[in-house]
Amino acid sequence: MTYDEYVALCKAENPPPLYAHVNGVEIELTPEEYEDAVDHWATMRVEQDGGDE
Amino acid sequence: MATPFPFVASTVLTAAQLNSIGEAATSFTPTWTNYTRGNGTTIAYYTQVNKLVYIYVRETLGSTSSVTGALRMTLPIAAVRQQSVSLALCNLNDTGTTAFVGLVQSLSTTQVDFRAINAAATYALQANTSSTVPFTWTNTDFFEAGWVYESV
Repeated sequence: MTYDEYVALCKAENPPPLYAHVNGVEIELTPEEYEDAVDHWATMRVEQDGGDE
Repeated sequence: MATPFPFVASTVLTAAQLNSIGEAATSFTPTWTNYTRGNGTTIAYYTQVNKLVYIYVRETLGSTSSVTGALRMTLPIAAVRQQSVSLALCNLNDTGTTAFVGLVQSLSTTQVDFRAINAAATYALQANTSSTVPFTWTNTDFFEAGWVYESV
């Protein structure tokens, strides 16, 4: 899969709002944090596939 | 409360200062390079007595978390020195599959790396983590360590 396909997959499977849990506290990701998480996750998946972003 | 040390002659020692020596650990949110928490779960705290800091960190990946390189964390309290010897072992855990032994390595007075161990050579070597080292990171995997260090 391509980077863009992974981005679409990640957003489809994890629509906002998204929450982190830090020391027992639920924290909603900001839109910027959400986009960063999706971007980094898609980048990781492409790397794991052995491809280039 | 900040550490009350060093005590000064003739100063009245308060109950708050005494209690701070044994106070509960302080929670903190680790700042990472090459790890994006996303919807992951963090447990992180430290406790300080005089110059000694005990710190514990566990990061569990969520479905949008990612490891994209060498796992690098900023310490909540600066260390007195960078050191070449490893601070502790860490657990790089491919949940349900394998628990890999890793090392917490001092990178500077303010940062540590969580490193994998490359056992392919005759003598074990430190290796930077990546999206596929020491395994392919996915949802529910985690990395964890606890160690003691000397603060500034």
